[in-house]
Amino acid sequence: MSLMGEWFRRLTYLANRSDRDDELRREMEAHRDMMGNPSRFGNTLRLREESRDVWGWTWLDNVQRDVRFASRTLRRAPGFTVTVIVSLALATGATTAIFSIVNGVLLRPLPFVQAERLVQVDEIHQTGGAGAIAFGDMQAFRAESVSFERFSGYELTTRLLETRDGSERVTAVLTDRDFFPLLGVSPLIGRTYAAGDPAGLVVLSEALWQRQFDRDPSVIGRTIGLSGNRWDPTARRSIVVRREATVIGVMSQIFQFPYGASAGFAGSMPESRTDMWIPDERPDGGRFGSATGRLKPGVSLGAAAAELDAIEKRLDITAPGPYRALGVRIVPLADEVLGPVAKSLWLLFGAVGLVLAAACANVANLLLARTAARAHEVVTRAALGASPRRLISQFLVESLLLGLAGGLAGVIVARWTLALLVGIGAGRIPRAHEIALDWTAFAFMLAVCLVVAVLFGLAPAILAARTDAQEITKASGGRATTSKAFGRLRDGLVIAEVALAFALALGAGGVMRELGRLARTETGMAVEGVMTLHLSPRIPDNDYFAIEERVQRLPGVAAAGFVQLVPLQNWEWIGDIHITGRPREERPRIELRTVTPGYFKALGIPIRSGRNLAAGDAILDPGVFLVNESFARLHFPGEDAVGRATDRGLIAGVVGDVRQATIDRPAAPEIYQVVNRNAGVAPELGMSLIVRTSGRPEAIVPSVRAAVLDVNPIVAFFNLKTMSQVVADSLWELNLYRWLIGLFAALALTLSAIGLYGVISYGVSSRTREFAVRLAIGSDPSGVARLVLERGLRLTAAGLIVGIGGTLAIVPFLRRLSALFTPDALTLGAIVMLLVTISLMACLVPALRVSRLNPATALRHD
Amino acid sequence: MAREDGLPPGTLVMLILRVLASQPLHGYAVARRIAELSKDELSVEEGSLYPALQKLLLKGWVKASPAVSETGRQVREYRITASGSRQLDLERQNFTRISHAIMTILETA
Repeated sequence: MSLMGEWFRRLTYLANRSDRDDELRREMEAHRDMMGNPSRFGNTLRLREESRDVWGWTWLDNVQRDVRFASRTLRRAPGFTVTVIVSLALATGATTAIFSIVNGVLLRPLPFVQAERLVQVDEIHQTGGAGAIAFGDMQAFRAESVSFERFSGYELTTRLLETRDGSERVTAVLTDRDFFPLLGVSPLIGRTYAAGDPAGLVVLSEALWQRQFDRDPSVIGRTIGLSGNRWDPTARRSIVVRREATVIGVMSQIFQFPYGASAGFAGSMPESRTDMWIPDERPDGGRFGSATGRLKPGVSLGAAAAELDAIEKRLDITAPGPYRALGVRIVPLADEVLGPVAKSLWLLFGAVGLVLAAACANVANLLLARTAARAHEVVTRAALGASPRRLISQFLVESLLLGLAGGLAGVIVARWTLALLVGIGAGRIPRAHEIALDWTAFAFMLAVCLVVAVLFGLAPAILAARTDAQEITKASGGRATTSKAFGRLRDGLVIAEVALAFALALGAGGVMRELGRLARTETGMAVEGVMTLHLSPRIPDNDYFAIEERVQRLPGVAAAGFVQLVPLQNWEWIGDIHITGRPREERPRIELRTVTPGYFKALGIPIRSGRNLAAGDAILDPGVFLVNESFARLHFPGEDAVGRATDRGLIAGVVGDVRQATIDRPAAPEIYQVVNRNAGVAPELGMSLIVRTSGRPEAIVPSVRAAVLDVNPIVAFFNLKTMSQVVADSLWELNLYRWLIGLFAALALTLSAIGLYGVISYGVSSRTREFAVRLAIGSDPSGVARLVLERGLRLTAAGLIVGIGGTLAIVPFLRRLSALFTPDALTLGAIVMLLVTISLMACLVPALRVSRLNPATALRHD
Repeated sequence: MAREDGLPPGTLVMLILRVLASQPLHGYAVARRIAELSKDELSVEEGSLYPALQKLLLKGWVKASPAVSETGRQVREYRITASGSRQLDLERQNFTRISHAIMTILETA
């Protein structure tokens, strides 16, 4: 308690310091006056200082003085200061931006109650792959499992929401009643649904509430109209159904489960969002697209998986069927959601960390150079009685000031970079909406700045404090010489910068090599001059044929056709097939595509043998379909596939292979069916129209739109993209890396060039006399210049050796993250050449200066 | 540590507090009072007096208020506080105990 009082008095003193100081001064003067012999009174100034020391604020005065002194010195060297602040701002800003993403997406737990106990439950299918879980199996899990508290199944779909001025297509999640209780989330307003609630309810997202209902709280209880496509099994076609639903709650913006809803609709949904949740019942025999479970506390993943596997085995016996799952796969929900981006984000974070390290090394280098130039100042201050501690604190204050200024400027860089990255990643990075430059990011940034400032400021400070006054005053003339330690430290920093630049350049090189390879990959399509448009909702099949015919006749159109989803959108629809005459249990996996006949010509996919599909094929019995070359090669090697019979009908023709899921994945065995033949492949998705034009693809859009609306006016258009754009977008992640890592590498290269230039030109200026003497006694100017260049190259070579050694040492580890990190001789050689060239350029100016040295003038200076 | 003013170490605070316990005084008067009472045997140097007074202020044992000296100068008058009185009692007991012990040794050894 008394200590608190003491601190209170200390702070009061601090607040009224100048008044108190005046009082003390007057008091002492009075004292002196009253003394018989005033000259006996001691040194007033010193006495006052000693009295003030009692209050314990002297250090503050020192800091203030150091800050004033430092800002004055820094203002006097604007070139140096700006260089340092800009490189720090770029490095800390970029680091903070990437950190914000890593923090928002990866570090923070998912916004659910005890999210670490949530797991994704998939069934392993006979056709290969894992995913949708059968309704019956889930019921069995619920009834028998002791490892799980709860399960919830859900599925993504789209709905047309009736609005004041027409309709809006929204992403809806059909869930069972356990969905909200499982996640343990509560709504922003209203309530969510749970077991026992009837159908016909809907929970809205905050974004939709804002967009369509102006955040009106009275939306609760309102009835909204929703229509959607539904597969009618008796009519064997997709029908549009209109339903009404009562709004019962609104979920906050943070709640976007399931994440990456757009991934299910790549190519049909323009952005990633979840608009509403609807309680839904699955029919017996149906499947949930996805299922999430909550483990009981303390249950391990392995134990839970083993238990569900055992339940599956029992179901195999008690309820056998042709589509029984082979087993169960359990993944922590966070891994399932974030897995696809986690590696990439950590790699980016690592890369930006390297940039930060390079910037630190560079700033330290600049500061060392300055310290060397200020050796005289340091010596003078030391001679005047500055203690090593005061000298160190003075240098540290200077570097802290630089660090904070850099950090302040870095906030702007961070905001800007983050806005850019979130803009690019919004639809692709899960939880992108949770990314923010929040206080964690600022705390991180502040910590980075302080650590960085101490790192680059401490070395010069200690060296300055240790500088031997005699050694410096002994040095001739106005040139300060510095200890060997200075030089070694600066060389070391340059070597580190070169090594870091090398590592980043290698990373960038790897990404570019990969992009180059993918760009050269044969996609199986002719993408030039092709426009794609996604049409939704699903309309009667005959309308598709009518639209195809109308569009084909438009001037400037060479071909047109429909496909359910444009290739390269990471989308697959898996089924199986049985080839007549093969063993009964042989049901190989296939990918299903639904098209209209014009599709192949529109995308330039060749028909290798047999015939194309036709509109009339739908009514043929047995039906006909096309297969791709991979299918033909795999199942009919060396034979003609055309005319072969299967349980899905006859093979009418063979078409060329097309890269479907991603550009990097070779074509899988596929079959193409005409649109009105296929049994309900995600009917809510609508169809994509592909138009091959003879001119600029975008120019065709207005006339195509008019033709489509003329056939069916309810159609809405989404994702209008040229096919080249679709291809480029499929590489967005690599492209993003190319830009980011390329930028990082360029930054590091620039920094290393600056560092090298600084060291070499400093070396030149401190050896001017030696060079002058060499020239005076007849040395060849080009020989002297070569000395300088050689030194630069030696440093570069050392940096490259460290860089290559360091990179090779971690390559095995990095390769586990990505195949991009397989170094090849070509990239390695190119980067070595690049670095050597940049180094030579950095050393060229000092070298030229030396070769033009006039020995007479140079020597006269001393 | 031997002092030129003849004060045993650690006793300055106690003496100042004791002097102020009788009446509030300004700095110079404190020094005078100590000298007078000790018949000029003890003298408090300014160099010790003012840091000591700051320490008393910091500890909350005295309070300062503006006053005018006999010569018409602005000074601060120091007044002992309740906690200052307690501190004085404490230091006084300690001092008595220790000086008694020292005297015992000096007389009996």
